[in-house]
Amino acid sequence: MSEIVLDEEEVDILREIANIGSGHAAASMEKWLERDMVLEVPQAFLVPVEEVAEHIGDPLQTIICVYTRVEGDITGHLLYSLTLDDAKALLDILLDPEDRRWGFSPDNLSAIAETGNILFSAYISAVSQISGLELVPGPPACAADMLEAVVNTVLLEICEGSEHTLVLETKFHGEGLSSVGYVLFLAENEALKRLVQRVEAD
Amino acid sequence: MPKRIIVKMGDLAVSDQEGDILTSVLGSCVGVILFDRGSSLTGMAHIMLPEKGKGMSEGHRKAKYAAPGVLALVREMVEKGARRQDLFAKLCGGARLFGENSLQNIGERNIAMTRAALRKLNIPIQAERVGGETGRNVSVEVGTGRVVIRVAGGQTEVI
Repeated sequence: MSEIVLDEEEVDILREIANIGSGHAAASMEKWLERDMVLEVPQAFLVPVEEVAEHIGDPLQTIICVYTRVEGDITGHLLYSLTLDDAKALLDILLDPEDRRWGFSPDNLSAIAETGNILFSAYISAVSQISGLELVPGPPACAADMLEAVVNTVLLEICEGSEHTLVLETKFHGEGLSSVGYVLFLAENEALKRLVQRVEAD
Repeated sequence: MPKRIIVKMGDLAVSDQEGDILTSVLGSCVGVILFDRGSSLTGMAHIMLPEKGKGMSEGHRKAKYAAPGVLALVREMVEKGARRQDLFAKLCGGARLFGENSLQNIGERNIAMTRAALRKLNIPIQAERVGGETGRNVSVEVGTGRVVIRVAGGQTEVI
């Protein structure tokens, strides 16, 4: 993979693409959780790979992360990441408190993975629509671990030794609730360029 | 004053100041810790990838790839006064966080390439905690050689 080289205008377009993707993802979350969602404006940061974790949060905090690889005309990567508090807020909505025990139980993780899956599908289909590129999400994988360990593990699998990466981050809040996690979109230089070109052409 | 030195991904650090702590958070990355039998010199390299693949950049980080990373750490230890034949190692990391059937298994390859690099340099591995499915927060205490490993959820182990 070659290094990411993007000018400000291209980053702006990508942030807008992330905004549209996240908007659709939030709409799907509203249906799934049966409550209004509030989106923060997506952030775009181009940083050295070893600094991504600290840009997102405390490297040592435990997070729950759902990952999927986006295939099709371009390859990209989506992560849905929640702090433990986010995960609790989410599970309180999804599961009957009487029925669930707190912890990384298979039921809890699978409810979170399913939420990630719903977010990803909506995000990808929106990006696919505005770019005209065919994009298909892979099966989601879930991990609960220290933020830096999780983020670096994913980055190394996908960045193939490149020095920098562009992270498109959107935070999600439920109406009247604390955060219910954030979505990160990552892709390689060529994929990002193609996305920009396709959206610009329209 | 003892310092806490964070060894970032792809980086390495060496210290002989007793009480200093070298620390890293490792997922699929491998932490190589070297000790010198004759002094308190202690070093840690935070290996990112098994080897430089086609089209991958060299980069500016000394410990990005396993073999050159181990070599760079050994050189720095020797430059600071360690005897090469007195070096021994402890290894941590190389986990597979997302379980089977997902992503590649860079952790396993990181472990294999790091072990091979140490073997080639005749550096024995005294202890290791590698593989598995959990990330590790690793802290090495210069002087005592104690390596404290914490996993998410709070369990702690010393090797």
